[in-house]
Amino acid sequence: MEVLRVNIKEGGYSEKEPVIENVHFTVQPGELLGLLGPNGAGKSTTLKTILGTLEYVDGEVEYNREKRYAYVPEQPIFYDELTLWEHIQFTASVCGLTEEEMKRRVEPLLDIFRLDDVRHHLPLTFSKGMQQKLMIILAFLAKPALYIVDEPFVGLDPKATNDFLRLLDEERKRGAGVVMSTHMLDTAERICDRFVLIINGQVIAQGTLNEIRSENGLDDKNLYDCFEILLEKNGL
Amino acid sequence: MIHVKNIKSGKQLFLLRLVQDFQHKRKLWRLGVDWTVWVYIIIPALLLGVYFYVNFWRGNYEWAYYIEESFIPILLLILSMSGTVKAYLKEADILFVWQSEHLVKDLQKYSFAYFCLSTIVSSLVQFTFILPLLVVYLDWQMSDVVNIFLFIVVFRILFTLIKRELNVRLGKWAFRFSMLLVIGISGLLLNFLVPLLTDVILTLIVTIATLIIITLLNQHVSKKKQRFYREVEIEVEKQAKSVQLLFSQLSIIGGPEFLTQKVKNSSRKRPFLFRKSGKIFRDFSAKNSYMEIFMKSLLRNPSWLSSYFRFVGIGSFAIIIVPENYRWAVWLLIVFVIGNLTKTFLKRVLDHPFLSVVAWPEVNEKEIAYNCMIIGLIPGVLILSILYNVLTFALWGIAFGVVTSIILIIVVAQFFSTRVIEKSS
Repeated sequence: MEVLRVNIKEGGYSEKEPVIENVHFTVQPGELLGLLGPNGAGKSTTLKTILGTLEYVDGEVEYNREKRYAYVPEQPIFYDELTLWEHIQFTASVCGLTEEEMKRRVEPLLDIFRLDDVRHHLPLTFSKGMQQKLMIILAFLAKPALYIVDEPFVGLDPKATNDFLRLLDEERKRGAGVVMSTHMLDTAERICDRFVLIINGQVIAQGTLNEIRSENGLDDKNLYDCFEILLEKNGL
Repeated sequence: MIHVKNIKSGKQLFLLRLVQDFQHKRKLWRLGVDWTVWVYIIIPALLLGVYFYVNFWRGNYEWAYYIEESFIPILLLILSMSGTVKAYLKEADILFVWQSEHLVKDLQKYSFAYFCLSTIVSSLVQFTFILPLLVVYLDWQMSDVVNIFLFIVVFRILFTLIKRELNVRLGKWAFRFSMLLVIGISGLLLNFLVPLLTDVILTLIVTIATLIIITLLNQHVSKKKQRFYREVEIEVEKQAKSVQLLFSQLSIIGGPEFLTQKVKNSSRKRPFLFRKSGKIFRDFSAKNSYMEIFMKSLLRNPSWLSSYFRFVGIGSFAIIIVPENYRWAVWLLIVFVIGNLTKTFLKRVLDHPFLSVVAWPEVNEKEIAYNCMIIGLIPGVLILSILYNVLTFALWGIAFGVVTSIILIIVVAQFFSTRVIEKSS
């Protein structure tokens, strides 16, 4: 059974002006689905629809059994007055972890992302990359059935990017599904199982790279070229 | 209307920035103050203010007769510390304006002139407020008041100029320590000079001497190269501070909820309280964690904490000065306002976008909101209730105050926690 099933007829900030239309896809356990598209295409709106934070949605978003996800936003969000460690404590307690379980899970993550020395600092004073690392740590701490990740590589250094992808891979082996919006097409081609290409709020192609190639007559093209050609075909 | 493309001189640029500044303030005001705020808060507060001021002039407040003359230099020092010199620079000025030296110098010149003018006006307003104290209760002659006013205007200008220059040139801690020194010296100076300023000649000499120092200092400042990013940073900090203060006040008195969004960034790496992220509650549970983030957010947010205790202070003052028949109404009104303030802050915590980072089984929001409201209400309601009851029933009032506090806290927490949940869900 899928981890996530998305059937959106329309979605947006008001009924009068829908931003996305006819977005349908599923995420299987252990699968990494890449959500691709140019700026303003509707990727983040799609993710917000999945999160249930969009004002207007005509359609359905179904989770497997319980609604348990972790979200890594493009712009890190945190309480200005809480320290890094307090964010971890809060997330762990909300997810029902014991304190021992929290420590067992989070200590290696703090070590990997080199945030150990700043655990009692306010994330407000962190660089963008450090804030992004905190968001990633909180997601891995939760160990959810589904990861919703919005442009995770922005601000991350190459080591952190590799560590993030390695940990994500381990989670997929555990059976977690991932929806990831990104502009990094070369990375996406390397790590994603399937792709959903959105332009002007509509899905114009989806499937594995081979499926997209054969459906559009783009044999031997890489993801970047497929993306370029499909954009041109759609007048962009 | 001045258009950006027509800007040729620093004077035009200054006027444009001044107009923009006024428009910005007007927008903020209109955003937060609607007719309900006028009807329920501003008009009653104005009427109460007029009532208080008229009674102040009539010499009806016994307590004011106990104020010593030695308090006046302290009061004048506090009033002098409130001024600011705006540079009217914006971050985007680095692209074009900063390249034109004459534009920047002119902008600096007109900003300074405007600052002097606004200092005169604000000093006039401040003196209007303290005039009854000086004339009725301390028996000063009007000529003495005029002398003090003249000196205080130039003293404020000098004090603010020094404060700004230190803020621009020094680091955070060096600035704070040097300001302590400046405040100390200013206090001693005022303490020494104020009693002497009954003499007109001496007043003129001291005022002219201060004016000369201001001119020399201003010349010195103008010759030095401005520190662009520091100037902009100070400007942004000031604006953010005033916007946040206005918004937090407006949200308390009934403005829209989104006004409570934080607009200022702090540079403090560790928080003041619970520096090692220590837990407040021993049990590790979702309910306790929600209460913990509410308490820590409130305790670590100076703006909210000061708003809270400012309201408690103003409320206590109002309970003391209003006629006995109306005292109970003021007491209950302020308790309600404290409840609304706590609700607004709680809502800010419970509606925070961070809560969308992980979706997990639902918690009992109502119980959490109720418990948080109780915690937030305890200090304010306790102080106000004990004060009201002591004024009404003397020493027995302490016991009555505790009992009525408990009842009020439960009722107000119940009333507002339901509303937090209704709006959050």
